[in-house]
Amino acid sequence: MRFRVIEPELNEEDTLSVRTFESLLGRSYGRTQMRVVADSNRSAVSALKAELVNTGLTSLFLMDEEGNDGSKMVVAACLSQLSGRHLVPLGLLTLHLISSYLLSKSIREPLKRVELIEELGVKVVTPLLNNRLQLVDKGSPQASLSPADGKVSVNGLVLDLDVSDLVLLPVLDDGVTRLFLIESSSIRRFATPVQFIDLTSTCQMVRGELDVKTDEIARYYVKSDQILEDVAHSSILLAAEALGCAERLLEMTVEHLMVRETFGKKVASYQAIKHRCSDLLVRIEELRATVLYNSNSKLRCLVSKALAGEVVTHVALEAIQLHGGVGFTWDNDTHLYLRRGKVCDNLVIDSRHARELLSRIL
Amino acid sequence: MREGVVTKDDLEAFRRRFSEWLERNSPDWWPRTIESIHRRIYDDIIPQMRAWQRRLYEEGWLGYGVPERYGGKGGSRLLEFVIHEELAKRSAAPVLNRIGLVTALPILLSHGTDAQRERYVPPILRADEIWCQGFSEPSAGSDLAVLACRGEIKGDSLIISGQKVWSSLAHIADYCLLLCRTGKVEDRHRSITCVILPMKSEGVRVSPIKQITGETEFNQIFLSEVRVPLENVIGELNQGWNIAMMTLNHERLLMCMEMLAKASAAFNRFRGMIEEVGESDKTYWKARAVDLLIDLEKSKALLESMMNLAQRGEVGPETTIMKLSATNAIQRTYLTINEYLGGGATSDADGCDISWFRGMLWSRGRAIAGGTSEVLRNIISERILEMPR
Repeated sequence: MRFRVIEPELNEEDTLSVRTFESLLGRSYGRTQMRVVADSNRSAVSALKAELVNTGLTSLFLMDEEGNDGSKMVVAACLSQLSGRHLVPLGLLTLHLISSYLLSKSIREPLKRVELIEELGVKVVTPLLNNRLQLVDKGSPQASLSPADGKVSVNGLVLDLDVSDLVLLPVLDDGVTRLFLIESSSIRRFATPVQFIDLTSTCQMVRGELDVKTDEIARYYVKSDQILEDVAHSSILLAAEALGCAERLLEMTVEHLMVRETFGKKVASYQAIKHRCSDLLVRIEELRATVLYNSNSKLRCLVSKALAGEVVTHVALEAIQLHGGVGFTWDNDTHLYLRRGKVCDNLVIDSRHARELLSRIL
Repeated sequence: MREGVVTKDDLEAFRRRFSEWLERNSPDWWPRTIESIHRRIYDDIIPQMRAWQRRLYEEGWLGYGVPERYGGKGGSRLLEFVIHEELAKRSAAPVLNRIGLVTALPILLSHGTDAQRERYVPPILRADEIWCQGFSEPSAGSDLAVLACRGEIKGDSLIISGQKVWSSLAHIADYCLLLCRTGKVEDRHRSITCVILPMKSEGVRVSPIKQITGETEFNQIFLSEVRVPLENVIGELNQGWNIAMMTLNHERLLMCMEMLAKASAAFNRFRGMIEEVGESDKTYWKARAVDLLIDLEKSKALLESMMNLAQRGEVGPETTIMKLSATNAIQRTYLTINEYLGGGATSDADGCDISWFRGMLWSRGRAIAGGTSEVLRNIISERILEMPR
């Protein structure tokens, strides 16, 4: 059952990319594997990673010399949406795409770009976030450079560190954010797992000091004056992830309502229920439109991000209610999507921050 | 209906050209205030409105999607939709013969005879003849298929008796696009015929309906043994349902374009209002403005996606989703502005603006006209979500 009303406008090559990922998920990361992952067995994630890097999709944002016209962002959004539908660990795809987008916008020298394409073609990069899951927060930065000894003190969270090869550090240096790219192995020793609401991703707390000069672990050292702009643009991918969750929730709900009977008829035949489901579809299609028709504008991306958290939470709570008692059980998937949705709502740039940025644009 | 091909760039270039023209030529007799957004078409300005539509036509802004031999300009109908949208956005005088252009004309083109097209299409474009619509009845609104207005065949005529309701412009119309029952009621939509009713016929009486805004935009039409020649039937007898329904999605799309244009205009004024708020309240009202901005932007994005479908000629029942979204956007915009103005929108005393209250009342009608929100939810659940009836 699929209720997609609006379709993305993709060329043949991009359509093929999206289909490749979709069939990969169908083959290697179906519901059974996802439930196993939710029970903390991560073997399916490693297997998926190996297949994913083989597709070349992980270097999506770096292939384009001019650096990411709107069409690449639409392809990435379609991938993130599939990630949301299948509850792929966030660090494996969506956070990787966001990190590589930020790198591609910051690194302009052709040689370094080629190097990065080769690297990200086979490696997964995930960002260091602060404890509230924000990527850029000058108030409480997750990494800062000490001018005295050149050391970077790190205090933040990394999602899915087990499958990441590289970590992107947004380092606050004298009021400016600089991006460092380091090997994940160099910070694993500082990492301790924390409880995380999203059961299909993992979360590690990382706290320690990195000696970036002597260790030579930092490959890129780029100043990103407009990192907040780039973060705002790339946050559309989290809106897409939330969209994938929301559409899957509605499908599951309608499927359930078509089977369940009460007072002698299908629950799906009651008008009160039908109208609620219709309202959910309206909200999902509105979100889909902001994700796919964002004209690459900062305003639309922020609208999309702020809207996504609200929509996915609402749809998930309605899905739980419309599933009745079943929706309150662990074995039903609705809570897994609610968990992912709440993380998407708050991840990288939370709805509150997105709204604040919008009010500045007003 | 097959659309002429038009790209997004074509539409935007056309919009810019018209917008520049309108800037210089918008008539000054039409009040460019919030009032005009929901103003009824007063009888005293009918001659100016006729002249305005004729001018739009003669300057080459109307008649898209209509073949040249009937006085049109060919091309895509969507170009004309852009005209309606721009007029709404700038609170400029609307096109008088809206029902003629948006509903009757496409039906005549697709199902009318050559004689009907030649006779009726050119005067519609020039506003020489105004049209109204006779679909809804007191006992057949959302469930239109049970309509009771009878059309008895006698010789070469239809003898029509019954009652129609919610007919905009009926008080000034020359023709009515009418649905009547030409078979058994049990056959529902299979015994409905679409016919051109001359409003000056004997037995036609029009009675205005006063709305909650205090204005009179709609009418009731009472039909008592009105004789209409059978040659006025559009398409075949008993095929009227499909004919009437074919324009529905396009009408809805246009309605949404205009609603969002008006909502955006109102929102821009609201942005101006809150600039003057004291610092202590500013954060709160800016946050409320962000809520509205999100409502508007999501709806505009949806409209862009629908226009995309329409450009390919694929617009269908998904316009129901669009309408629920646009209705929400415009209703919330007016409600928020009324909340902001407080007592300042309750009278026309000095410094107050009662038109925002009227605008809010008008916006309630958007959830009823063109399919109530409840019927739209039925359509979405049954046709898109495939839930049982």
